[in-house]
Amino acid sequence: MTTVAPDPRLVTVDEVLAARPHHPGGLPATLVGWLTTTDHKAIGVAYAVTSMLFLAVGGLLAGLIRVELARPGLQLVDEATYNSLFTIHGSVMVFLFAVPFGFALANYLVPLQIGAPDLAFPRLNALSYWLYLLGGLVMLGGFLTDGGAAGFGWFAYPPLSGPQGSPGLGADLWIVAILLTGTSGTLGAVNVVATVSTMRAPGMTLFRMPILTWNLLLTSFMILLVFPVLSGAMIMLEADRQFGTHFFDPTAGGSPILFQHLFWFFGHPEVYIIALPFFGVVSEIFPVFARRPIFGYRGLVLATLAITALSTSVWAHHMFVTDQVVLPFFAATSFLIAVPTGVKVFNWVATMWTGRLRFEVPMLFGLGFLVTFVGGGLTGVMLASPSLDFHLSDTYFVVAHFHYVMGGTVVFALFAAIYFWWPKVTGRMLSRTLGTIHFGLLFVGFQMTFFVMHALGRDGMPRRVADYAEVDGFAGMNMIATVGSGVLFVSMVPFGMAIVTSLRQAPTNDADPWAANSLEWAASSPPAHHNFDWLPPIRSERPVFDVRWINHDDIAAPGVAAAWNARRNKDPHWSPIPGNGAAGGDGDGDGDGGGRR
Amino acid sequence: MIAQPPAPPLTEQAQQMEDLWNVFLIGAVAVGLLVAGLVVFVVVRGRRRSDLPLQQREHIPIELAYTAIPLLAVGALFALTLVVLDDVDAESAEDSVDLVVEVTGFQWQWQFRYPASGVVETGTAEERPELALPAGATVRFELASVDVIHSFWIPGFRFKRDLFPGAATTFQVDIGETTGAWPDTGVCAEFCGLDHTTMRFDVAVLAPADFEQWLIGRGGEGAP
Repeated sequence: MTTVAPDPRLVTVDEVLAARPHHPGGLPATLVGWLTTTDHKAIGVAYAVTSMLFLAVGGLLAGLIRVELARPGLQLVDEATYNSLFTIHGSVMVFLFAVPFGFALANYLVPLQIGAPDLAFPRLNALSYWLYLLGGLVMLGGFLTDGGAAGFGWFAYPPLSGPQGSPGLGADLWIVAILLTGTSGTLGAVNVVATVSTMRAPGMTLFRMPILTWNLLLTSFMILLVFPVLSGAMIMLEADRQFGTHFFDPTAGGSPILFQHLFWFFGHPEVYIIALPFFGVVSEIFPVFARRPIFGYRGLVLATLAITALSTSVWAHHMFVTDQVVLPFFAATSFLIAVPTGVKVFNWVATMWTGRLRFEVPMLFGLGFLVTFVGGGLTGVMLASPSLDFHLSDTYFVVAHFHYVMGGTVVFALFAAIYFWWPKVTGRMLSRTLGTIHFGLLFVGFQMTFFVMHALGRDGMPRRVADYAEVDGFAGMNMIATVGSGVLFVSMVPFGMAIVTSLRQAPTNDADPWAANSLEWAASSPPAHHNFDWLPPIRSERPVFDVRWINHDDIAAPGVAAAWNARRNKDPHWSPIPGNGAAGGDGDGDGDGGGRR
Repeated sequence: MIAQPPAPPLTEQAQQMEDLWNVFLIGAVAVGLLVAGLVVFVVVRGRRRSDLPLQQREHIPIELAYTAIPLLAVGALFALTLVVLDDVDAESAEDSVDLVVEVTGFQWQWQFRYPASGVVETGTAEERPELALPAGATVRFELASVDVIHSFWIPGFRFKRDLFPGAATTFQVDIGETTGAWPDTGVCAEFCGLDHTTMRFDVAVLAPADFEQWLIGRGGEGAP
């Protein structure tokens, strides 16, 4: 096996940037600035902060649920309130937290990763954000109405969600909120597709795009396919409620099962819409901290394409117990989608296989993601079998499954992303000690909360119940889950401390503190308003890595050095490479710090 | 296994699904341990080294292998699923059914009708209804709802099926020879509104003679 000794002739981005005129960057400083910004970075931060606030809201609702379920009997809330709690918990987490955080990543990172100055439609982007915020407030506004917030579960099956089943205004607000966030998501997806299609820097071919950008592109295609279907279903449901139509009303010839088809045609791709951006996050993080290229880049892209394609043909596995779907077909597609998902897991493991790992905080969260995601994937294979789903459907087993795949994996990868890109956004690092404590508490709390739910469901505890009988023997496991959720809340303390201490430090403005790979690390930290003062040649999916190793023909992608030097007499933005005599460098050849990475 | 439902498999179909569950569980635990082991292995082996490793980008044969092996594995699980599904989701001809039970769900309780003997068992908010079934019989359930969607779940059956307003659903089971009472184990599994939590019922499997007595005790005519 070839290994390379530490070499002083490594080039760092900061050296290159230091040789160039610097343009100031950063976020808006005033309220008016935030209200009027069309900068993709500011809107990305707004998406991230807003979705984290909704994570807090959804988490508090979940905390109330766990306290209510800690012991048998009704202690904290009545049943009507409980029903609103889990309905809004699920809706907030899916529509107002998980999907929008994906848009935070898309907003902030897609232009930076492909070398563009902004998204294709900056003002449309601002509109997307404000529609999202409005939708979120409308949904939570349900709690202020007479009948309370919607209480029919986040998939709102009619007739329960119809005019007789849920007469309250909270239900209408919920439907309007889904329409608003759905419109926001559709517009955001249009923006991502247009940007990736038309605004990639010279040299950034499709197969040199970072995996994260690939995944956000394919996520956007799925959104364009299925969000309009959801919006259609919501308009039909609202028409049934307010305008006297009978699309889903069985007493007048309507079809409740039609709603389930429309909802899950959206609802299952939604799982991948939530997950793919976070698969992309760890696909960025593992190579950086294993000091290797992502293993099987092309296979990984193909696997994501396969998931995207299959995602629209698996929806009815949510409806196995209705007796109104073709069981073998949807079982087959559901089993099949496990294969590309498994390929991704093996690609990530293989990336680390001969890697030299650095256990920085983003890497810890990445590993937590990996273990949690495998757990959720395995129960997913079980639920793909109708013969097992007949027992497990609508139980806490399913609750455990989707909290592993949509909760845990999202949250672990999300914190990996925050710790990883925080230095790019703010120019400051987050505390490694606090981050490690944060990770430990989150991992233990998560597994405690959700692992026992597999057993609860298998043992006969249905989901969406406010109470359970003492004879069921569920009390012990529910108490473990509730204590675990307490640990999850505690884990937010070191995170908050890390944020506060970081923001109170003076910025270091390291452009590339992790010795990373993709193009955003070639921008200053925080990036200039127009993003790039300077772009390296793009000859692989790791342009920043290639510049770092530009003096090593056997490591950097072929042609990088030649492309660099060819700019010398033609490109006014050409920059000398420090320590590279052949390129006319400044003679400062110490390349300090490069060798330790 | 650690996780045990409140009742053993009460039907022949439930026993098949229980066996299938065990196959899936063993497979899942095995794959889970394998991947966890791989992660631990790479983490332990990869730490405390600071040089740059080989920059290998892909290895097509290995990638094909770890695509093909999972494909074969889920293919096998799919085949097993279909074999079991054929039995558990099957319904036989009318004359081979020993007992028909009509199940009606309403917000928020159940009604069980035994049309051959005229017995009607209706739950109230105060009192759960009891669903009694004769051991060894082939029973068909005919399910309907009068309002919203419910789901009829007996964990001892390892099976549930939704009840829809305006369209009947059915399923059929062969009750095993295990007799006993499992109070409070019948469940509505599909969220159906305010008092969904309390929409539960008792399940009992009785010897045929005891089942006769149960029917007569509730004003029925005994055996059909």
